[in-house]
Amino acid sequence: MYRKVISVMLVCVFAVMLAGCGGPNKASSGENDTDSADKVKIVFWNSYFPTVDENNKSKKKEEFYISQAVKRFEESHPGITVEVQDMPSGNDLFTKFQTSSIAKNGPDLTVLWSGNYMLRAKQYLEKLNPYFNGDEKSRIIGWEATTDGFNSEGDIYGVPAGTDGTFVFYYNKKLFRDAGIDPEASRPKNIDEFFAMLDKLKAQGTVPLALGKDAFWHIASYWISQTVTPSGLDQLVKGERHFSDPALVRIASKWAEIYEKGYATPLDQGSQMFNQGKAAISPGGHGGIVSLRKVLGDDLGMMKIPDFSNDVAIHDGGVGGVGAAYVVTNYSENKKETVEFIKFILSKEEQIHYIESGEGSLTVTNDIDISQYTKDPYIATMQQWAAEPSTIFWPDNVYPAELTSEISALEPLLFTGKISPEKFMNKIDEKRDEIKSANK
Amino acid sequence: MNLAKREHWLGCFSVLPAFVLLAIFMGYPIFNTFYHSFTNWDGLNADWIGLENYRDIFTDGQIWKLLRNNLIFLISIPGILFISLIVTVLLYEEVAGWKFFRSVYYLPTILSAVVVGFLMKTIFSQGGNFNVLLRSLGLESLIVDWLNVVPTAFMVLIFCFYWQTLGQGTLIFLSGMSTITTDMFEAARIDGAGWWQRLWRITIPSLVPTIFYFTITNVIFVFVGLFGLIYSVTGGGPGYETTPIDYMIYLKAFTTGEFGFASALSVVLFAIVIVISWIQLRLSDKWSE
Repeated sequence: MYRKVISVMLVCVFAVMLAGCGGPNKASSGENDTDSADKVKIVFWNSYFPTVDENNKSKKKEEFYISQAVKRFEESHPGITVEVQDMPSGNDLFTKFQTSSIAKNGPDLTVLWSGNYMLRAKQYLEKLNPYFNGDEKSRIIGWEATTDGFNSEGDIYGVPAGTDGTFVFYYNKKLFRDAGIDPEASRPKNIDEFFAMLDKLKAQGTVPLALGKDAFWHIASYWISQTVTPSGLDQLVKGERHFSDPALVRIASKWAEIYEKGYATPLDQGSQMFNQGKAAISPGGHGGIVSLRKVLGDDLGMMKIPDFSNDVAIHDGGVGGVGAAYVVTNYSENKKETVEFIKFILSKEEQIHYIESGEGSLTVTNDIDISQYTKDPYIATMQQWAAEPSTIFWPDNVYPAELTSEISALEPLLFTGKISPEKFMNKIDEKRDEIKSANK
Repeated sequence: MNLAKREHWLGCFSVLPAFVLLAIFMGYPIFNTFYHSFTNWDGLNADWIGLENYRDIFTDGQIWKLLRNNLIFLISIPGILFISLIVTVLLYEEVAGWKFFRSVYYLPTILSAVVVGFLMKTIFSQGGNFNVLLRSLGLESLIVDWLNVVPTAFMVLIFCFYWQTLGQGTLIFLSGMSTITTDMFEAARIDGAGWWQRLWRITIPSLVPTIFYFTITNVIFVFVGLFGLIYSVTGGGPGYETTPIDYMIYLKAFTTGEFGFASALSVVLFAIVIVISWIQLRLSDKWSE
């Protein structure tokens, strides 16, 4: 009896251990099914394509572009299925992707922010150079943003998914009219003129600027970039130039003034107040054209972010470019099929479907004339602005991820006046130096 | 095999399943973290760098701010202990409305920290309900961006902590109170002891073991359990002003990919919790005597 009890106990323990030691729950497990040996299942962690419409909750998942694209892909590729799993975006996606990739049970495919955000996870990513021939590459723009070292000769870890265009200021024409301002005729040329414009709007009882928590990266970081140029950004990263440079400290100081002078909405209410006509200006990428047009109609205006000063090196631009990339995991068992799916999504026909669906307005392919498929003239303007050399690639995608995190963490201390602009910039220099010495 | 030997082996085999499970699910991760604390680890590749992570922790100055943040939560524990005690005694004495309160006091405790956190974030955000209420009462001068400045961000976090812990504290103290004989209270009342006298002279001394249990569990909690609240309410900000050690471990590991550094920080936290728990247990023994 005694032996029997012990034997049963040991069997239970080992059963639990064996169950725990079973292979990871492979995302792409379809090929292992004995009764479906030839079938391939691609798991796509999606936070890029919309699958919910906040303004139309009755819209079914099957009506969104990505569901329809998957259906078309599966019809044209028998034996391959794509499972779209909705995921949170931004840092939450990176965390989930990183942890699952360590366990090698992440997806076959996902879309990550490009540049150093994406390259931070390159140990889990498949190098894609062999999968694309010259013709396939040449019809897609923005490969630098997905290539190690930001040059076309390096290892490619992602495929450009979409462009943000150029970040601009959308504005409410009615509120500007009420304040007696015509921003098209008299666009502010520097920060002082910009502040004067904000003062006029404020005097009308309007909150001038609708800002969110990422506003620093859309506005202040553009002012920094246009002052130092993209090569200067590289120097800032390498420590050959300093954030504590007085010219850059002045930018930080003016950025803090925006909050100090009450030009900005509460961070959690920016877009809501702009949509309700309570705030006059809202920064945004190309996606804003479609969504804000629905809200403001003909009262929607669009202008470039004003230059910081007359002395900046790059005038009349903005930050933007290819901000997102398709990535294939290097532990995927269906890499070839996954790349096939990416190529399908980026095909001319699919990109046209995407634009016509209204869920996306710009494309990273250069064989489509956007104006043929959209009625809104702002979209063509946005495409044109995005192609101008004054559009600077996202600085936060260029900085090391640790530096970006540090800037984002410290920035609230700047705009709440807890640290001075000098100290803020000094702290960024210190972090940059710390990262540099750690990398050595 | 004689009886003593049999019993010896029976004992060994009886604890074996628990031991094996603990070794796999607790021992291995602890050992793994300890090993990786001496490496530069990105999640896949680890290079041995000796004590460098520990040197960085203690020389870059950030650890002191993290410890300060933990200390702020630590010194808030007596507050919730006292509130829980008062609520327990009021329930025990069946004051008016005790039946209703008894049925709801535990509700915040069963809510996830993230749910509580997002609820509080909504209430205390710059344009949130609390500021709207202040404005409607004509108290504009009191309106602040609660979550973006200190000490108000701490006040909100501690409020969340109290709100969530009150149910647990009350439950623990109510079970402690059930072990105290009612004769003592009645005798004290007959002898003319007032409410506060009964609290200080009878209730609290009788609950010393329970108070220690509550304190130890909450001290450990403020070092290792605040993550959910911090993540959902302040995100450790503004800056790193409300970032405790456990949240910094998350930031280092999962936002900047410094798994080696995060492992070293985890070992430091492990050591701190062990030392504090040991001190508390020693004090508990002394007080119980």
